Amino acid sequence: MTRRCATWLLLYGAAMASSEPHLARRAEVLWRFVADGVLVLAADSSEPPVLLLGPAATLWPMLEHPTRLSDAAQVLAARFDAAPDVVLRDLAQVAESLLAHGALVVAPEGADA
Amino acid sequence: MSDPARDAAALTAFGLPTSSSLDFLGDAPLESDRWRRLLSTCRRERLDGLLYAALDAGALHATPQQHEQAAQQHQRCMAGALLLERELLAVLTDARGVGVEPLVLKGPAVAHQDYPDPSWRPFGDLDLLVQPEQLATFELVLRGRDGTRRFPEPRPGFDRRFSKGYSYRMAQGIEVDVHRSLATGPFGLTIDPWELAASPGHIVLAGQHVATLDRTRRFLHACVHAALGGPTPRLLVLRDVAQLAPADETELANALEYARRWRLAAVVHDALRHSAEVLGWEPPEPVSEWARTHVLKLRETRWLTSYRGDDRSTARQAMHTVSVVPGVAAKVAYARAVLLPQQTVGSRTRLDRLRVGARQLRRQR
Repeated sequence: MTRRCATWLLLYGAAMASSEPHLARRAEVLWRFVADGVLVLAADSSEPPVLLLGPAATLWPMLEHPTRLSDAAQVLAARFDAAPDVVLRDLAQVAESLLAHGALVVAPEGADA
Repeated sequence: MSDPARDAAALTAFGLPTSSSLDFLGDAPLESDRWRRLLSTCRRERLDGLLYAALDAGALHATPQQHEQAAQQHQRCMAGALLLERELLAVLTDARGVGVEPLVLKGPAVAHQDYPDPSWRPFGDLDLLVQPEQLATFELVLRGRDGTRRFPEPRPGFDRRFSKGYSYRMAQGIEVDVHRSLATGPFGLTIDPWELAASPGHIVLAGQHVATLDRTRRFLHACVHAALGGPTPRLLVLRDVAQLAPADETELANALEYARRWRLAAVVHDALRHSAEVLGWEPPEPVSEWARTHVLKLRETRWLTSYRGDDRSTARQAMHTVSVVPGVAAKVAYARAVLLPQQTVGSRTRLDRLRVGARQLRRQR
């Protein structure tokens, strides 16, 4: 099993089991709204920017403050008229990619939602 | 019949409170040739952010294919801006390590502080203001990051005493322009570099505080860039002038006080006039009133013509510069460095340079 897949399962599984961590943007991140999405770049990495498009881009503003993926999924499911568990699966993949890029951090216990 | 210059100018003025709207472009997407020209101008003039903003606001209409083209162009230039900001943060970290605290000019500073959203304002290089006495130390920082100086210092001490600054090319082709002042020539020496860096503003990038000029000085810098930066300023530079124009009498008074001290009134006047003419916007009333009634000083106007128009000439700029260099010894040092540089640029020998300078001076008599 790859590390990315394991992260995804961890995020998705944690969300389903209600032991879910809060996720938030790392302070050390540069980003821009762009046409149809958001570009994200960790300032302390040497990777190229990550482009989030469509519904994935709508997650980014929500991560300004520590947020549970399942809460974000509820909001976005209502906005896009989609099933929450389908949205949650998609968000878990986006979050996994952003975590791997160094753009997100798991917020400490008791962080403000 | 469409007018590409009018299309581009109207787009450049998008979102300014007193500009004409984009209504003349109609409710339908532009026909393909007109769109292609506009897209090409946006790339050249760095208007991709304004194009994106106009499309996003529904002020400009596009086919799905045109929208996709604009989106890709915007994404590319914003990716470039983020990579520049990452390099900026790395350079600033290294600079702080040796006790140098540069101020960020233009691109990132203006994008983050003066536009509705930084995505409106792309940039293609980095500009930093460094105190004269720290220029040599800061060069070591850039060299330590594998930067290569583009043009040699004509003579030792020239950077610190007389120059606008120097330019470095970094890895991945990133250009870093380091400023001692905001302009070459006489205007560059009438601007007090210490006063310029006083009471800075700041932005926060990736959690780091980054020092910038304050708003008044950013406006003056935009004017200097528009009026003295080259024969034809980019449309985005003219937009910066409009974006930063003083909004009320207090802001105007502040700007004019520094303009008076640094002998930039003619530069400010010229930049405002040019920006308003090309972009078709109306400056706020106190600024318009000043522009209508201000009597230009002959000396500043003469200086200005050495930068712009048919009479522009670096030799004439140098002559004017001599007149503002304080003290005979310093005047001689400046003239010697300009006419007889120790290190030459390109293939010109020192003798060639002296001959060219003498010829230009003779022509001006």
